[in-house]
Amino acid sequence: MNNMLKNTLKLIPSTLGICSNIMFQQLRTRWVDCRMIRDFKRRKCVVEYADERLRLRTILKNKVLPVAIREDARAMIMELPRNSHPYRTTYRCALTSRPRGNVKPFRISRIVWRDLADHNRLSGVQRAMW
Amino acid sequence: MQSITSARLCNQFRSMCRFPGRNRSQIVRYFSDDDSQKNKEAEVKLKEDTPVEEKSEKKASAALKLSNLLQAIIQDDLTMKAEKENLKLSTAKNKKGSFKKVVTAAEYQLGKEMADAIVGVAKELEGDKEQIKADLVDKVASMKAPVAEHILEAPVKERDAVPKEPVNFSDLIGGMAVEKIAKARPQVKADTQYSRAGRVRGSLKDKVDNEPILASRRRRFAPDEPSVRAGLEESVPLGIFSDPASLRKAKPLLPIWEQMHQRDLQLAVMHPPSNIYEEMISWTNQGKLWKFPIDNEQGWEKEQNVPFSEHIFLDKHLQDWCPKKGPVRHFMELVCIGLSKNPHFTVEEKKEHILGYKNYFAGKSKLLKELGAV
Repeated sequence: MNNMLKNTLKLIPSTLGICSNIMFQQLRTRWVDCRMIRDFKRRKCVVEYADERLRLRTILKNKVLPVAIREDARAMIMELPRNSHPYRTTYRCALTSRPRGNVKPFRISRIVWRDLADHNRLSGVQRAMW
Repeated sequence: MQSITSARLCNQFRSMCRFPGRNRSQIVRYFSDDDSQKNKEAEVKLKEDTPVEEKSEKKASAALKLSNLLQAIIQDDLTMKAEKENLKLSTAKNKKGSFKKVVTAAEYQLGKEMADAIVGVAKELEGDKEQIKADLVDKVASMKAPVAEHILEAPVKERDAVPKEPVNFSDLIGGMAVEKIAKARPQVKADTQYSRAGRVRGSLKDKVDNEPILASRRRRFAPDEPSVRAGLEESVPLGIFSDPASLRKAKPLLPIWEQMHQRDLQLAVMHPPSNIYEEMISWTNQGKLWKFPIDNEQGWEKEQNVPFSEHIFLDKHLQDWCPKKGPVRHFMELVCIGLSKNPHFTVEEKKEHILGYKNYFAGKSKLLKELGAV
């Protein structure tokens, strides 16, 4: 899970760096709306605390360590920022920011996906024939 | 809207009907914007209202005015001499076919001196002498008219005593729409607030100031205006870029420009693939196809130099800190087994996790000792 998030967000910091260099250029963000930005912030937070959360969860879930230690780990998990939990993120369309009806492997909404597929823009997608 | 205005008009007419004393000129005045009408009436009214006793007082004031005006003439003469070379006068165009009767000074009974002065002025100015003379006479006569009437009404002695109204030179010139160039302006600034000529000059100055705006407005409707040629090297350079050679060396602000330039160069040299093999070669170069010989770890540069054993044998990272036995040892061995089976983490990440556990247990050492887990 953590790795998947990391891989999906791998490109973002580099593009942000370019953005900060050209602040005096015309500003044209790739954010569609504020909810998309909010989701991005949450994803950043998830990535930041992913390792720590994973470790604490491992300590919490196992039955080898004494209960007092596991309870302590639970308390530490509760202290982590709320947005560091992956369930706070939404699968939004990368192009339209649609929160539902997304085709997960493509990270775009079904409508955009259908449009791209119709115009032969998606690799390996074929219209059903039988 | 229309109904409101019509209602207002009706009210006004009704009120006029109520006061039948008002004649047509009053009504005209009421509705017209013509200032001359109002002024004329005001003058007439003034004349009627003035009592006879005030005439002597008026005479004194007239004398004072006369002396002032004479001084003004002298001053104007001096300034005129200075300005004469720079002065540009625009005169009204002669309208062909419109016959204007050329009146002489004698017809208006202006006196010999005035006639001479007018002739002198006409000589000084450029253009049609006769026309200028006639214009001047008209101007003087129109200004003198009320005074002349006043003189005619007065007794003969007084009429002789009252001097003829001296005409301010600047007034004459001012009435004729004089165009001045910017150089002459500072000299005439002093009397702008007093004389009528000054007011005219002020308005003219405003006109000159507003000229660019007017010109820009006019340009929209004058497409056949001669266009100005703009060239790179026609005007004087600003001197901003003192060293053009250094500019060429400087890196472009955005790397994309350099990339696009390189791409353009490549495209200029490159030919489209002539057969499928060349096309596949290009795809391989673009990273779209596997390279030969086949290697399952192609493009896995990050972990290329890390041996397999580093991924598997993680126990060595526990040696220096982990207790030899107990729940913590048990737990950490399980962790190491799990990490060694994980194909997604790099060795660095696995080490980081072990280090993280080390820090955690170091932080909880007191609790662990209390529990007897260490």
